[in-house]
Amino acid sequence: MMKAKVLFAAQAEGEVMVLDDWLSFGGGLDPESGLISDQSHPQVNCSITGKILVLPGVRGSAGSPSTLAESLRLRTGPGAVILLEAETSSLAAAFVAKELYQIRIPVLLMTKIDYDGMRNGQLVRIEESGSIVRLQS
Amino acid sequence: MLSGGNGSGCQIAMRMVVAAAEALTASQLVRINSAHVTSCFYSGRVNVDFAEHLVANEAKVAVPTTLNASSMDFVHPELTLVNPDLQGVTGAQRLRECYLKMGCNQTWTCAPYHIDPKPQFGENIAGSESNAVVFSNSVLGARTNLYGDFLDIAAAITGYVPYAGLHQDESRRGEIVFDAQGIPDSVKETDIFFNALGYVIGRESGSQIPVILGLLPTTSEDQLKALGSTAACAGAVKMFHAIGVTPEARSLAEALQGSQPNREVSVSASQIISASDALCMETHGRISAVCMGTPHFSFSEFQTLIPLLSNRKVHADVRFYISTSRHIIKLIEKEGWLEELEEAGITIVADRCTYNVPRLDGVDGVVMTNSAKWAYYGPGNVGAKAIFASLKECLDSAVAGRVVRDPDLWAGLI
Repeated sequence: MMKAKVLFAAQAEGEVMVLDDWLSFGGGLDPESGLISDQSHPQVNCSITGKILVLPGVRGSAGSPSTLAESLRLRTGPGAVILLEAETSSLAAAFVAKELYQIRIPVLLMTKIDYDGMRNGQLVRIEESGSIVRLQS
Repeated sequence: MLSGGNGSGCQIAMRMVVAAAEALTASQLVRINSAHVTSCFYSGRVNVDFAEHLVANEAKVAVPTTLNASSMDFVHPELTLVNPDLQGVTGAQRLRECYLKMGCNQTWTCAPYHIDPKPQFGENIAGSESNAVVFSNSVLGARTNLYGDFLDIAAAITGYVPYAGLHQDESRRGEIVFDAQGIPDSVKETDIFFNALGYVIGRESGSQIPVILGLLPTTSEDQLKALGSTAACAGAVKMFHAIGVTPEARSLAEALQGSQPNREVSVSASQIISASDALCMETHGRISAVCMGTPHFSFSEFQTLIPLLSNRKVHADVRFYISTSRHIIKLIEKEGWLEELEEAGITIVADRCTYNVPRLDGVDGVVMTNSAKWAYYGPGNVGAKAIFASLKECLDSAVAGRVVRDPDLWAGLI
């Protein structure tokens, strides 16, 4: 079991998707499809829908919170966001999705050691406390 | 505010600001004197839903608040109302109603720093749009992080932001030094240089704070605007120092706060030229449009442009747009320049940027621009093939209807 810092508390369960590079949701995620649309991103055209999205950081774009929140509204967004570097745009999106649509996704901040142990395809459950439990597939 | 004593709208906003403070491990909040908000831009239904939710909860801004560009030109709606994207059009109109009800100023500009009262040196503010953030921090010496959608209006409603990041002295230390002393002064007088330098700096810096050595003391605000806006989009620069030019960089030691830089980069002529080339998707042939004013054109940029028109007319097949704020439009109208621009075949666009949807006529073809930021985002946003060029090249090409490059563009460099 791992413990991450809670930036926005919620429960989630799903498959881990580790991004190889930072992402700007604004201009980098298509909220209609849930696909990464940033042509320069190594995982361009991959779907983040329902994924426990693990990424090093969110590139600063003023539009990132809106795009992420819109994807949550349209149910194409991630099931959780786990960051290596603290930032506020995922948190703002999660806050708004809960406030307006009662859609809850956790946003967590992970230590480098735990982050390096995250692998694509792992099944995990996230508790409100920030505990992350690996599930048997 | 958290307990709801200032109303439920303020309570929602304060809960968000406190959540942000906890995320950034800020132990206190700091009062802001003004805010600039991007949440008023329509990018989907969530923007409208959130704004209407705040209005339904009777939220009002607590500090003077300027609005960033909309997706619509409210002054010249005929430019975009022909577009079939009605959802976007009504969305923009509903957002306008909400943000006005909350007490925001109808500035609709990404260059709020062109409008008085500007943020003052040392003041804490809540900035949101990336170029406005970098300009406020670097050129004005005001203090802000990039708050982005939702948190920007929450800050405006509460009048507070987390005391973290660029609000704190130690976070404003220059980290990576770019030495441009080897670039000839004649090149440093051109606008194209500042766009290209911004691209180089953005790519190399990521989110670190760059320090630039060797800019002329006469460097203009327009040149710094070009530098900052490009560095913000090509990297994630939120503040830069230019020694002898920007207010927290009277000396290298001051910009570095007495410590050593993390890295030093010598800026070469070839870096500048290849940065400029990287923003060109075509080298010759017909053009469909010219776009200027990203970020919004300033009064002094119009002042430079007007004499260069010299009674020439834009080619019939070319759309020539300059985007600016309704505030600047009033100033140029007084000078009689609006008529001159119209006679030349130039369309002034207010309240919005030309690289967003609803798309303007002609911007999905080959577009020439003197803005590196436009060349960076235009292709992805509206499917344009962008060519980054100097102001003179843009004008000559607009008149000719095809790409006209200036053979002496980099004369000082090669």
